[in-house]
Amino acid sequence: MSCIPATLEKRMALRPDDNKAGGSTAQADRPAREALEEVHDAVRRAVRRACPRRLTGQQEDIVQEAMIRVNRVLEERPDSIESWAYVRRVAFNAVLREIERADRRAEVSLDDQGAEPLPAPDPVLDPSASMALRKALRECLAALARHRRLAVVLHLHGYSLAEGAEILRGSSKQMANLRYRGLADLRTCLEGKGVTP
Amino acid sequence: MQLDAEPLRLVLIEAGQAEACVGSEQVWSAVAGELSRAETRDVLEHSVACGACSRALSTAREFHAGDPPARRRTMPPVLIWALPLAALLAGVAWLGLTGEGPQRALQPSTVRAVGDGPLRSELPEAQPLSRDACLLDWTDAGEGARYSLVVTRDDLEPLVSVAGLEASNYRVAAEALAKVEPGGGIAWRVSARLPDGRLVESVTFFHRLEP
Repeated sequence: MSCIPATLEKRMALRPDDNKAGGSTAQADRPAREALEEVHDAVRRAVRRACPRRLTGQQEDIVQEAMIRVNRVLEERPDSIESWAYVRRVAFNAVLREIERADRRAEVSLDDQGAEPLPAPDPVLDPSASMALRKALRECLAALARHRRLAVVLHLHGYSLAEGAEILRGSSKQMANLRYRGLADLRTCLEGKGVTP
Repeated sequence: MQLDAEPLRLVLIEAGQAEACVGSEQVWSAVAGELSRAETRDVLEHSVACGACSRALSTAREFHAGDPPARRRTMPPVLIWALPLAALLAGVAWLGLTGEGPQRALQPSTVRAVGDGPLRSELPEAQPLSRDACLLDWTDAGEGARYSLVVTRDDLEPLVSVAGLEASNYRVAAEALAKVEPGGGIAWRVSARLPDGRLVESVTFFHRLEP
């Protein structure tokens, strides 16, 4: 389902914002519909990646709400769609806001459950199990040497060795070594705490 | 235990917002390459303790997928030259004042850095290894050294762990490599216990098996 309003379809092209890092010249001279469909795809991917597991069933709602929010901003400020970088940033904020809203709604609905019997604990969704894992993971990450910790965090978020090496100012080889050792240390630490992700 | 990135990332994004949160705009700027390396590293450090920023990081990555490499903010060109020059001049002045030479200023370290250790692979990493004749070979740490070797798949799945080796090489059995796909990667590292009790470690070496 497309969330692109007809008013925006009249726009024939989006111009990249060349002054900002990440503005892709490949976006120039493309129909607005195509570019906005790309934003829609990115929103969907982002929601899938950034949505906590407890909100898995609401992902499509979050995508739709985020796109409505994007469209609203773009209709209020039609000039802003001239900037591809701006559209992406609007969509980024919309995704985060909608996840927060869904999270708050989920908390409220849990509060409303009252005396209803709770389902059997799920190792993924059970708050206490999840909290214990989170606590252990944070403690173990905090215990790593700084560069190993950074290498692991970059790895967890899908950064390539080359991207990580650029941020840590080293070579890909050094980055691979840091990542390997960091993950090994992390595994040892988690095992020591009796935690298996 | 295999350590998959995705379940761990999911745990990080589950958490709530930390106090003194850097904010999603700062995360966006870090991912977009608008911050310096040091600032980017600070944001990454912060994300470990802040679920909101971990979510923002995952989200921003999706919106920047396929971007060209970041044009990261760097020092103004004049500072690139001026700072090392100032440090050099300060060092010269300090030597003149104290009369201490570099031999006194820089005491030899009793613990060698991992990356500078004496244990190096004798195998070029670009060279694929044969599954049936997978001989790992490293530099000799001296008479009386005893080596420990750990070999894993490149996703950390353990393959071989041996200790007390006297020779500075080890042939990995083909059976131990059964879990590695043709053309798949292995990682290995070796440590040596020296006769005086010191432990020295190699960096990790990566190789592909022959397809």
